[in-house]
Amino acid sequence: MNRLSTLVKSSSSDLLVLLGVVAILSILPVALNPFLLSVATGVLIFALAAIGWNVLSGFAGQFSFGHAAFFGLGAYTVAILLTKYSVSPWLGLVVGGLVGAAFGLVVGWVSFRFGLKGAYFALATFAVAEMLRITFNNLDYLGAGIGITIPLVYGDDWVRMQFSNTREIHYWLILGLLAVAVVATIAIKRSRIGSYMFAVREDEDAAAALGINPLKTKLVAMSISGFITAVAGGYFTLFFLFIDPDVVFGAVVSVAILLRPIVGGMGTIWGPVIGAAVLSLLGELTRSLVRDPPAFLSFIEGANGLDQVLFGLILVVMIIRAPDGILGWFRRRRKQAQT
Amino acid sequence: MLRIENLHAGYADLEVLHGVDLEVNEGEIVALIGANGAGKTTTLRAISGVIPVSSGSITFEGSSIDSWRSSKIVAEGVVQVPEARKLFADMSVRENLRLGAYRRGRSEMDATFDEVFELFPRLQERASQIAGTLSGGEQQMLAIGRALMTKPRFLMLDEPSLGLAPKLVADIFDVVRNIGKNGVTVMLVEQNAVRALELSDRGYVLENGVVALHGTGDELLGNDRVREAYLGL
Repeated sequence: MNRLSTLVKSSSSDLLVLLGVVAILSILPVALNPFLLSVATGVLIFALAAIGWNVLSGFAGQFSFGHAAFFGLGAYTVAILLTKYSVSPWLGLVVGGLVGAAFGLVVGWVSFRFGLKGAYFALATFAVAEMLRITFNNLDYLGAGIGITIPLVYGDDWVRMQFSNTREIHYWLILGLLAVAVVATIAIKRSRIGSYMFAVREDEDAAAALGINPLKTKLVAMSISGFITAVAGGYFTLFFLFIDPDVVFGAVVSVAILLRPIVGGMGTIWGPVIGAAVLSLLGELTRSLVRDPPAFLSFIEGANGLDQVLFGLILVVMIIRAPDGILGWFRRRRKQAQT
Repeated sequence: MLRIENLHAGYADLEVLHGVDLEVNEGEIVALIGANGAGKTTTLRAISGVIPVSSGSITFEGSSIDSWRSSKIVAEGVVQVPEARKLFADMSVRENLRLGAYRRGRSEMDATFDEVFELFPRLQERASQIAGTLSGGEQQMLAIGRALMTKPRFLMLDEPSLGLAPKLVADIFDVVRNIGKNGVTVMLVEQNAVRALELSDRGYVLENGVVALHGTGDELLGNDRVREAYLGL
C-alpha cells in the first residue's frame, strides 16, 4: 500500500496526463464518423503494440526489428482458440499475451545467452519473425496462406466480443487496454527492474559491476514486451476479424511497430502513443491525398504506397534531426529556452 | 581474504594473464602497479567475473568464485569501480547511487546514502544533477560512491586518479585511505605508482601478465628496479 502511494505520488504528472488523454479520447466516438473511428481503433492497437516494443527496445535498449513475431502469435492465439475451441477472446487475449511472453523468453534466452547485441540482435529478431511468417504460411491446420476468418455474430455477444455497435465498444475496450499498458509502463519505469533496464541500456558492464544481472534484466524486458505486443496482436484479430500470415507476421508490421516509439520518443512513457497518433494521421492524410489529389498534385493520383515512402523519409529526417523523437526534441528545446 | 593462484585469463583468443598469483588479507590496501598492457585491469575484471577465467583459481573467503556470475560476486561483497568510471550519464547522481543499493532493503538504503554523502558532501549538493554534467573529479567520486552503495567488503578501484588534476588526485587518495579505515579491504590499480604505494600496505608489480615483484609499499618504493621502471626516479 505504501509503495503504491509512493508510486502514485512520484508519477502524478504522468498519471494526470493519462487521465486527461483518456478523458478526451473516450468522447471521440461521438465526434468521428464510422470510418474515422475504425482508423482511430487501428491507431490504438498499434500504439499498444508500440508500448510493448518500447519496453524492450526503449527501456532496456535491445533493438527489435521483429516484433511482428509477438503481434502475430497473439493474433493467431486468439483466432485459433476462438474458431477451433470456442474459447472466449477475453481468455484468448490473456493466453495470447502469455504465449508472447513465453516466446520472448525463449528467443531472448537463445540470443542474449550467446551475446547477441545491437544490429545482430535486431537481425535475429527479424529472422525469427520471418521464420514464423513462412511457417504459418505452410501449416494447413493454421489456415496456411489463406488465413483465418472469424465468423460474424449478429447482435451483442460479450463472450465472443462482437457487438451491434461494434466500432464504439471496441474503441473503448482498446482504449482501456492502452490505459492499463501505460500505467504498467509508468510502474515499470519507477520500479527497481525499470532502473535495471535503463542501467543495462546505458552500459551493460557498469550494470554488471553493480551486481545487476544483465541477462535476467533483458529476459524480463523481453517477456513483458512480448506480452503487451501479443495482446495488441490479439486485439487486431478481434477488430478486423481476419488475419493471414503476411498481415500479422510481415516485416511491414515490425516496421510499423518500431517506427512509432522512434518518432514519438524511445524510452519515454508517451513516445509510442504520440508516434502512433502522428504517423497514423500522416498515413491517412497521404492515402486520402493519393485517392483524390487537388489539381496541382494530380500526378500522384493512385500512387499507392506513397505513405510508406513518406514514412521512410520521416524516419531518415528524424534520425538526423531528432534521434530522441518528438518528445525528446521538445524537451531539448525547453532546456535550451531555460538556459 | 582473497587468494589468486596461477590465474590465466584474457579476451577471446588473446591470453593476457599467464599465471598470476596474489593474495589480499582482510583490512589491507593492496596496490597493483605495472605498465600499460601488463594485465592490471584484466586481473580486476577476472575477479569481478566480467571475463571468464581459463585456468587457475580465485577464492574469496574460502569459496571458489572464479566461475560465478558477476551479480553473485557483487552480492558476496566483491565490487569493482570500473576504469573510466562508467557512470550512467543521463541519470541523476541520486539515481546512479540508488542503482548500487537496490539489492538491499529501503531502510538500509537510506542509511547507506547518508554514509556516502558523509564521505562525499559534494555528491549530496549535486544529488539531482545529471551525472554526465559533473566535473571529472565529481564523476570519479560518484563512481566510487555508487560502488560503496553496494556495501562492499572488498573494493577494487581501477585507475581512480586517471585524468584528474593533482589537487583532486590527492582528494581521491584521501578518500581511498578513509574507505580502508572504515574496514573495507581495497585493491587499487594505479598508473600513479608512487602515490599508490605510499598509501598501500602491500603492492604487486605486474609485468607481461605475471607478478614480477611483490612486497610492502615501502619495500617496493625502495626497490631500484621499481624506482627505475615505474616511478621514474
